This record gives sequence, structure tokens and C-alpha cells, in this order.
Amino acid sequence: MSLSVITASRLRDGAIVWLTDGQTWSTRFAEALCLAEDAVAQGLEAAHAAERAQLVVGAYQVAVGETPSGVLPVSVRERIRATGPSVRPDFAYARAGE
Amino acid sequence: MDILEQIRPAEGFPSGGAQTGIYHYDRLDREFLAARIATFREQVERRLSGALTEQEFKPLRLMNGLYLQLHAYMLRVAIPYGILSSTQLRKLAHVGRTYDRGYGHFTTRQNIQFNWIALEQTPDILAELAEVDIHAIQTSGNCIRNVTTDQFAGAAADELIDPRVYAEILRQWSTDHPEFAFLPRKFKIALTGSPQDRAAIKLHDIGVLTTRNAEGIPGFTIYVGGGLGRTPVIGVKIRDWLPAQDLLRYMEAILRVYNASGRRDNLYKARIKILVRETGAAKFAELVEREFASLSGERFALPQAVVDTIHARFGAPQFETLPAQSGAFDAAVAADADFARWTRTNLHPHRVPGYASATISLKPIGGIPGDATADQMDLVADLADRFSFGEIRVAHEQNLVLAHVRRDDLYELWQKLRQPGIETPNIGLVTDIIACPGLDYCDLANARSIPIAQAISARFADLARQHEIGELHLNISGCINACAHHHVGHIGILGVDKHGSEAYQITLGGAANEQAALGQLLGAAVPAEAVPDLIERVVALYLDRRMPGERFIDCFRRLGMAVFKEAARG
Repeated sequence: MSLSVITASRLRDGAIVWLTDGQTWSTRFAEALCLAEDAVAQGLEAAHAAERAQLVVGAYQVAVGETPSGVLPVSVRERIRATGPSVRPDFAYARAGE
Repeated sequence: MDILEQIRPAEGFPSGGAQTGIYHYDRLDREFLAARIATFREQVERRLSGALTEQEFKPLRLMNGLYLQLHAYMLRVAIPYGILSSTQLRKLAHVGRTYDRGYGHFTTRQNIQFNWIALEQTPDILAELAEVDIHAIQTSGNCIRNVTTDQFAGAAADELIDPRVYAEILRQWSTDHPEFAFLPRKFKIALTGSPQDRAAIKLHDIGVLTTRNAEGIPGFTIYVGGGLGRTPVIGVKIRDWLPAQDLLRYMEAILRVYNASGRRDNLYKARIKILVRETGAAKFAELVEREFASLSGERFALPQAVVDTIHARFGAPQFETLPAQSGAFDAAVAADADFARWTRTNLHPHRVPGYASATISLKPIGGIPGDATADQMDLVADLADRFSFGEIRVAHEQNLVLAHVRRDDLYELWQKLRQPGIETPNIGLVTDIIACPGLDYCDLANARSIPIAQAISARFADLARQHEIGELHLNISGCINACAHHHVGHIGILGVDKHGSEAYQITLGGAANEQAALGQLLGAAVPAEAVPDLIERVVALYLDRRMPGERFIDCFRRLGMAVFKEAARG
């Protein structure tokens, strides 16, 4: 079964955020809500509502999968978004305490 | 519109002493910037309140250099023709420290980018930058971008004219030019003041090379239609020699032809290079000449008084009268092998006896090409005040330059540079890698660039070996947009997405100087971990087969691609 999470950029500062199960947005990928295929449309609907409320911008769905390090995005691009620049992992939002 | 109306008389700008060499703003320049910032502040407020949608706001923020990148907003700040005062560099350090994460990234357009900017703070950042006469206008969008030039402008021994003066004239002409604010696509101009091309002019939409005519008068040879990206093209010459006074008139003519005929229906076919190719270079030149002839010479010619005015507003460094040779320098070279090695790569001849231009490498072994911390920027600003009339240059190769250092002072300067990150004696060598931010930061990238640069840098870390290899330009781009100019690296590396994984295509034989050439593909794309070994085999072949004194690029041209392909197979 394919799983996805919903991501966006926070409008006021551009921070990468992930939709949580409380329908809020977190900078921590670990708090992202994993959605089954049939729940993605509902997640995106919540994201578009947040766009209309000027909370986030550019929301979209990201495919995730199980890895030895836990659930992570499938694509290199989204893993870098989730974990920070590979050359400066200390800049990741979660580690920078944001 | 009178194209000269923005160019105003000098009002007692400094001559000699600190911070000459920088174009000095006047009241009108500052009022213009203040008005732009006030407008943008209001636009940001309207976006945050929801009065503007993202679709409406995006072109407005881009006009002020603000992108939404992979991790955050990125602010690209213009450094006109790559020249900064120490005061301006300290302000950039302050922005990096206060609003970013303590650093900035110098680009191949001689600009600086801050990667972790908050939208809500951007108007304040722009206001702070305006305090020292810098801005982010026209660092994005389909307009004329920051004009670039030789990092040794006004200092190089082989210079025929001072390109800063004409670059500044082009900056004033192109800033908010009403006719050219919405071109079919972005537009880049490069200008060099000597017949030696140190500004990659043939890879620009317009390239301006200073040459002498048959009477020995300096003027400009004009190239158009160069560019990299998904359709790499070397620019073609459309004017053998143009009198300097006709520069704006000719620029206006080229831009008018492009603006009228360039394609707006297809993003990938909108650059002037496509128009030149589809029209034919001869026909395009004819159209430009016809437009040029239609423009009044009286109205569009640059009066010498205007040129002199602009020149005066840079101020004039008061060079000492010194012997060409420096005993102190020669003694230090003889006594200190490390210093001697640095002088072999990081110095450039100066037009004034007793002076040299010193390049500060931003390519430490295993580091991130072009990055400088706020502390490093502050240090370089201090060194510029102490050794180089308070001015700093940004090279398109992503290094910094102190353009006017007394040869007597070079040893002391070098000792102060002996700190991690800025001490490397590698200018023009294999570890002086030009790299874009790649997939670690850029929203457009397909693959990472920086880790590849770091791996190659680490592989060739041995300085003695680097110097033994000699001049070798290596460029790495993370996507086909080619921000790191990989097509024209002696060795070029392009990151691609191969079935969802990062892979790297390697080209050989590119060049960005007056013998500009596009690299040829070495073979199929390889995974990241295979790149250093592949580069190693290419370099080993060169070392094995080179003639005495023969550079990598010359050896490649002599031997041809087939020999290198064979070596690459291992």
C-alpha cells in the first residue's frame, strides 16, 4: 500500500512544513501524518484551506516509504527537504529548533 | 525616454584614501531605493494579509530578488559588476549573521545569495542593504540582470579601458528601463576591459570585449546569442569594433530587436540565442545595424563628459610610486615555500608598478564552493581596509579579490589569510571548483553538486599534486540550467535524474575564455561515488601524455576525445 504525506512552505518564513494528524503544520518530518491513498485527497483539501488562510504556500503530496531509518520520503529531493541539506544537516529545521 | 537622463553630474565624490573604486550613490539613487523598498514592504504586508495571492505576489517578490527555494526563501543581492566596499561587505556579513545562518553564498553572476530568509523580514533586510547602497533589484525576472565584468577591472595590466565605468553606465541604463522590464526572457550582459576574456563574455546574451581598431583606438567587439542552459551556444560576433561612445546606442538596438522578435510562446525558446539561431547571425546583425542606424547618434551617443563623470564617481586610489620589484616580496618568496606557492596561483599582474591583485580562495579543501561565513566576510573587509583601499571584488569563479595590494605587503596579507576557509593556494587549479548550490538548496536541481565538489576536492587535496597538474577548470551544475557553467569547464559535470537516482554526466574540453568552447560528452552518466575515480583517470592520462608546459585544455585539444574516452573506461 502506498503512503504519502502532505508538505508545503510556511508563508511567513518559507520553512518546510508537514501536515500533522492534528491538521496543524510542523517543521518536524517525524510529526507528518502518513496517509493511505484514499485519504490523500482529504489531506490536500486541508492543505489548500491552509493556503487560503495564508498559512502555507505550494502544498503537495510526497510519497514515503519504510527505510532502515524509519519512514522517509522516497525521492532524494524530498529526503533533503525532510532532513536538511546533506552538506549541512545541522541546518535542518528540526535540529535548528524551529 | 532620454537614455542619459539618469546619469547625473558628480557632486564632490572622494578621491584617494579609503573606499575608492566603488561607485558612489547620490540623493536620487537613495530616494529611488527607498521608494522601491516602501513599495515592496506594502506588497509583503498585502501578501501576508491575503490581499495578494501567491500567483499575484510571485512576480513582485522576484523583481526584488526573493525566490522560494527548497528550504526557505532565498534572497539574491546584486553586487554590481562584482565590486563592494568594505562597508558593504560588513553589511552583507551582518545580514548573514542576523537574518540568515551566519553565512552567504557568492555566485557565478558575482552576486551573493542568502539561503534562509524569512519573507516577513525581507523589507527590513532590504532597508538595511540600502543603508550602504546595495539592493536586490533585477536579480531575477525577465529583465536585464546584473552586468558582470572582469574581477581585475581597473587594476589589470592588460586593460585597455576601465570596464567598471561602462558596466556602471549599463547598470544605470538598464535599471527600471521601461522598455526592457518585461523581455521575452532574462538577459545577461558581460563586459571585459581587455582583449583577454576573464568574464566569459561569449556565454552571455551580449558579450562586450574591449579591442583596438586599426588606428589603435580602444572600442568594443560585440558578441550576441551566447548562453548555456539546455541549449548551450557560443555567442557570435556581430560587430568587429564599436566606438565606445556608441555602446548604449548599440545595446538599445540589440535589445529592441530582441524585445520585438524574441519568442514569448515557449519558455525554452525565448532567449536571444534562439532568436539569433533561427534568424541567422548575419540577418540578425543586419536587423541590429538597421535599428542602430535609426537611433539618433546625437541623442544616444555617450558624451565624454558623462563617461568622465561616471569615472569620477568611482574615486581614484592614490597609488604610491613604487619600484616594480619588491625586495620584501622576493625575500619572503625565497624564505617561505608556502607563501611562494600561494603567489604562484593567487596573484594577478597589476597595471601600477609595485602592486598586485590578490585572490582570496573560497574553495577550501572539502568545503562548499563560494560560501563565506559572516566572520570571514568581516575579516576580508578589514583586510581590504588595511591593504586595498577598502574595496573587494567578487569573481565569477566564486572567489574574492583584493585588487590593489602593494607587493611589499603581500606577505603580511597572506599571513593574515592563513585561516581555515580562505587560505587555499588553488586559484585556477582542480580544486578551485565552480559549483551551484544543487539539490541541497535549489528547487530546480535534479542532483546535488556540493557533495561532488567536496569529494573531488578531497581526492585532489594534496597541494603539491594540484600545482603539478596545473591549470584545470572544473565546473559542476546540479541541473541543465547550468548555473555553474559546466558546459565550459575543462572538465564539466552535470547532475541528472536517472530513474529517480542522482547521476552525473561528464564533459571534457569546454572553455570560457576568448577560445570559448562547449565540452564534449565523455560517456554515460555515472553514480556519484564513481565520479572522483573517473576524474582521476582523466587527469592521470593528461599527466602521462602532456608535453612540457602543456595545460590540460591544450592537451585535450591535441589528443582528442577518443583517447580520453578510452582512459575513462579504466
